Amino acid sequence: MRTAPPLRRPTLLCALLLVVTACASREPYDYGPLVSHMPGSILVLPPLDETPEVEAAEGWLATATRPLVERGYYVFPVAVVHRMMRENGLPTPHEMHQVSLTKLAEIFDPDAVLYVTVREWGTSYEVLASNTRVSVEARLVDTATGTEIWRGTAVAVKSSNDGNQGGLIGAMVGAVVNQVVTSAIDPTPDVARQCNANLFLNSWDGLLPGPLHPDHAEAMAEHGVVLP
Amino acid sequence: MRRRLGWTALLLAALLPAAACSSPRYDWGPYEDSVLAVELDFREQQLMDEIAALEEHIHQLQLRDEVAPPGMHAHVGYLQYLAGDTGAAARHFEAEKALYPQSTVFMDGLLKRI
Repeated sequence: MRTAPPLRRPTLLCALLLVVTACASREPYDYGPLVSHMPGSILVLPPLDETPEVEAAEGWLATATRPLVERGYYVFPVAVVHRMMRENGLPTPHEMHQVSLTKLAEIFDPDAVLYVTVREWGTSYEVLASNTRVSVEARLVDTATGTEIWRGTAVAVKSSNDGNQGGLIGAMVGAVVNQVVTSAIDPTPDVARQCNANLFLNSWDGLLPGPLHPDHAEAMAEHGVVLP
Repeated sequence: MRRRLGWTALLLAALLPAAACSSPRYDWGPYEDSVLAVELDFREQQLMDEIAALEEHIHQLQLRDEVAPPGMHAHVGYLQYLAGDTGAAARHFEAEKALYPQSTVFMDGLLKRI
């Protein structure tokens, strides 16, 4: 802990440099597959859960519909889909991800299927602070052809020290207060919403505005497809 | 630190309105909470509470001449089916299909089950 302050500035500088170089060397995202298989409807399967948290899959699923719909896609009712699959002999998301596209097409008829893995979910407590992290990985597959038409990863973090200028004592009090508060109000759903916004809505490699979005035609035209 | 935050805020302020104004807007009401409740816990009383909250929300939307977002009618229809009210379930599945023809195959399948 004692060595942290002198390190902070160079670390920040390195982080900034990394961001700058990462941006400079990044190829533009290839929207070709998404544009040529533009889905009108998306079936979001319950996510694989790689976290030690018991409610990560359910928690993420509850936050998934809104950003996708507001991006212009029809999204099948996630809880109904989940329960129906469970009642039909598929106990976990792992089995649900193994179902063939043909079978999914027969029952739900989605244009595309979204396969998600939740990698991090929840709050870790340290001595002076707590960090809430959500990170996910997503793959969108065209139902008719099996082609992967979009892929993305995102992470969102909220620290209990955000905006805390109170020094060491302040930080200690902050950590205690935050632990008390967060046990009552879990910040994870909000962090998950931020993570989903980073995943689906970012203008670099997020999803293009879908058919229900007012900017859809414009976005398609930018990628060489003029809609009738 | 503070200066960087200032720039970030400025950048976000410049970007956000452009992103926020043009997306389709729906009033989701208790939908996300209900999804989580259905996912995590399913006692009888909670099922009735979820149905009441969603039916009331859809009623309010109708009074304001707004449409329910994708999936909402299907969700409450399924809850009605679990609660044993197949008439209400069928009405909601038909409503989902009418609003969003993308759901036709799925809704027809549910209508056949009830």
